[in-house]
Amino acid sequence: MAEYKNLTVKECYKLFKKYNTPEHVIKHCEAVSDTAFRIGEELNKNGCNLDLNLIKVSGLIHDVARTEKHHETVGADILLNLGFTRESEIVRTHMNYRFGDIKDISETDLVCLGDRLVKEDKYAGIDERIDYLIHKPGENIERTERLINAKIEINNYMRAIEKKIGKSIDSLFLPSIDYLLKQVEKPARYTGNEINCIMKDHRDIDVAFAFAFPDLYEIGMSYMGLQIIYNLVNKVENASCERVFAPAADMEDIMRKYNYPLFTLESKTPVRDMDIFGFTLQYEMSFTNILNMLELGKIPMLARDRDDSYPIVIAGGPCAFNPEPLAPFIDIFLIGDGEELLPKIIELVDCRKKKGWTKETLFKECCRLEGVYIPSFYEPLYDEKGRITEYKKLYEKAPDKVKKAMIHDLNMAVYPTENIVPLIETVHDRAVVETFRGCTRGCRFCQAGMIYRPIRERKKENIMNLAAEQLKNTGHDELSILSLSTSDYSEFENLAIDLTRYCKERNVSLSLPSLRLDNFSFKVLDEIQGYKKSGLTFAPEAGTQRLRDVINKGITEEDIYSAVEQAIELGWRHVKLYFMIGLPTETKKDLDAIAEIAKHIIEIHKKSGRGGRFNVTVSVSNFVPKPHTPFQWFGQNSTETFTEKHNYLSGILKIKNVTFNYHDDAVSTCEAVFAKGDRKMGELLIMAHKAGCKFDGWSEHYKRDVWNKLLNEWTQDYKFYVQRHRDYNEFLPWDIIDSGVTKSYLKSENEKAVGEKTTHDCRYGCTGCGVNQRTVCRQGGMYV
Amino acid sequence: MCKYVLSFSKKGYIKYTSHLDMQRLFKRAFRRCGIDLAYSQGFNPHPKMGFAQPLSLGYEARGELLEFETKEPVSKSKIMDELLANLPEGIGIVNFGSILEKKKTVAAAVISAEYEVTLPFSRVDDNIEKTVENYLRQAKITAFKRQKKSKELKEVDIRDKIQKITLKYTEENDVKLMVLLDCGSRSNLSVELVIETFLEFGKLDVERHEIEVCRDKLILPVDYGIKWM
Repeated sequence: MAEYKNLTVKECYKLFKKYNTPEHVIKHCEAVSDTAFRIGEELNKNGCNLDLNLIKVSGLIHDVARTEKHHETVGADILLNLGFTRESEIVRTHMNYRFGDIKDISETDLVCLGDRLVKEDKYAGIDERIDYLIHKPGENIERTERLINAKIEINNYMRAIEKKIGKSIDSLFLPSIDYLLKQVEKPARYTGNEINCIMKDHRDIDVAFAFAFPDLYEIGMSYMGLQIIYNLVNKVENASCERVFAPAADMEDIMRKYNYPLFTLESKTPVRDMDIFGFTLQYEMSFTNILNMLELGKIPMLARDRDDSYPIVIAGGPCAFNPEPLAPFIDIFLIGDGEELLPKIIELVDCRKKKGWTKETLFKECCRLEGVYIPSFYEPLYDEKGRITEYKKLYEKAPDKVKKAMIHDLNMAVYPTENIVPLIETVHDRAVVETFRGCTRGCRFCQAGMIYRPIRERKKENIMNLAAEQLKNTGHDELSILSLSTSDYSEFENLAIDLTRYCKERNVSLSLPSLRLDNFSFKVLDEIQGYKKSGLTFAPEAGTQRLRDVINKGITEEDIYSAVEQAIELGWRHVKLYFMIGLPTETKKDLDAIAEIAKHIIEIHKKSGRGGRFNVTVSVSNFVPKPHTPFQWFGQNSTETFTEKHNYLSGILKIKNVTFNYHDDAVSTCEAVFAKGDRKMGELLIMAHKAGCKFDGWSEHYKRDVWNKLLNEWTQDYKFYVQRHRDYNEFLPWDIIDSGVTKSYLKSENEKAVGEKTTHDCRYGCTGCGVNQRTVCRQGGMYV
Repeated sequence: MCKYVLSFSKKGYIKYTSHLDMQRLFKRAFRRCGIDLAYSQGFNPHPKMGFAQPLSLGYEARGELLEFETKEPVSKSKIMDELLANLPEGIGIVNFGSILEKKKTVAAAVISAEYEVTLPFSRVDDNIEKTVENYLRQAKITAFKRQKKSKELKEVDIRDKIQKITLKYTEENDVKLMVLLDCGSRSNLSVELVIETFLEFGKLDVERHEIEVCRDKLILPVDYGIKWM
């Protein structure tokens, strides 16, 4: 065996001196040496047997002759003459090196990798480094293409190393997370480590899915859908689901200061290194957070700027039913029930990795699935007024219309029983069982009531088991049930009695949201241990019976007053009423009636002779017409009209013991822009992001003036999108999505609304929405 | 009724869980492993369980004390195995015992606490020993303590509440201050005030977030009746 002469660090510096290597080159060499060494060290910890000293010195000496032409050859010859054969070989190849198979990883691979990851004298990571090279003087398409190809090759190699060392290479060069966490409020928002949180070693999985809720931890963790998806994805053996939330302002500042990328709670992996980055779209005002999270993740915001090395960015949830405003940013939208669709997408991403598909191939495979919308496969065409005329398909096999994915029987759907139990207090911190999905009431303003059709109930026995399991596995002392209308569950009385008994025996408090207040409900509420009789809530939504008929809200004044009487009798002290303003056909009379109801309730209390403190809160929200509802064609009131109405209501609601709250009018305008907009909204979102808008759903963070300015400066007229009444024949931006409810049904419902005619609850007979053409409505027509 | 105390450690990410959140966490862990805590009587019953002393957010710990009451006797293995399995990573159970004491709760009995304060290695010079010595030699150490109600800073002398400070070097070349302080209802001192005044006194250029604090132990009077199992 040949004997090698080994170069030392000391000799390297002597050589620098001898060959006049400039200071900045030495700095660069030191960084490369350090980078290669650290990765090598990790590899050795995980079973490799690399010569770390060789890595260190070769990295250090690699650019010794940088000032010369063909510096790698010159440098290599110097070393060879001195007898440093191995170092010389590494230096000779470092400029045109191709990475081989990870199995044969060598010292040369590491030095060259180190060289690719360092920008000047600092570790920069592959994205930043290649980006820097692309934009260096002399930028041209050919060079850019070559660089991107090189990047993909290096990226794949890095992933292979990461698989071996079980952490990302980038993470080796960041300050410790502890260092950041010590400087922020509520650090437990970012640590994970909760009970029932699932940690999978990335070495054992094929698909890493980052599930993002674009709001704070406390909000996201209160959302049951997150627990469902988390459970569902982690059940896939070779996939892991890890959570990501929007960092609060203090954390964001610190992350930006240290150039620390957005990471997942479970393994602290930068989202950039995950395979899928998926967002849940629960409300429009979280959209700017999505852009911010992409930026914090060091992922280009626009889908078209992301090469194949970036994670696939997907999105689902109710706002995906009009995907267009986010179309420029998202690769794949999942429409409908995630339980059905997500595992299939994960399988395809797994396939992609194993077969080496391009992103494009993956998209083509995905769009064969029901519920998948790939925005890059379509181009909206507009008429001269800016109305969409059609979606031109850019890939012929993409579906003409995307049908939502559907779970046909909720009893067959997986539901979590080992929920994550947050370490810090969240908005809702309790066990939750979904009793049914969908709703039969047919309120015409309600998007959830339309897009989640048909009604699908979970069997009572099933609910009881899930509740028991969850309570056992979480240790929660509160249980709630989840649906769009608690009391509509067909076996509600039995369910309520059983749950009450079960909870009472175990010192668990039961919370039953949005009960219809009849005799039975009061009995139940009275039974529930520890139920504070502080607030009783009604949502008449509109002041007059006429307007309630228009919106098909089946609640009468008689219902409210008799419930209030009963409530007062049982000792309730506070009644909360919810209304909407700006509904179709609304007049001044409808607003006046809101005050009448409040007054009447105060009267009832007076007449009851019970005396004492008694309050009525009137909460008014501004109607935002939503896609896929009978009111989707309706133009929203302007911000000014809302303001006028608020002022008017403030006047007539100056009643003793009545409190009046209302939602910000400008927020409602923004909400409508993003609810009803098309692809052009992408531009507006980028403008908002650049202007620092985020957490727009939080009144304390909503930048009213900035938004106002943006809306007015934007090249498009926002009023065209929100205030214009649209024609039945107009092609709507979301017509590309098929919610299962037919357009003709929505049209007839809108006609009936204008004619002040109600439609009955479809448990009393099918009302012909059309969803039963795709599935069985088990509870539809059940009371006929 | 059976009264118990357990001693636990806190290490890693769990140190970012606050005092109140730790209470909820233990309450749930007891529920999950089926240990029925005794409940207080009254309109709003709550489980009889509490920490001897709150621990600040971000501190690690080696011997925190939690006392609790159960209706039925609990075995050591139930605590050491089952309860432990139901606690998040980073919490360890060090010891378990029953309380024989009739008069005082553990919380009321604690007299002192020992902290380990780790300073960043690179920022500490050879004079540190001298600095500690001189720091303690002061007759008066003035610190500013924020008043709970008025939120105003009030000047306090903390010298008498510092029982001892010694230096410890680890194999990793870290420098640790071992700080023994009054702790409990009779006399209490937050280690934060010691850190603050010490950095200032020694003119050490160290940011607070570069310092690690670990509460090593809570000290009870020697005659306090606990039977460790």
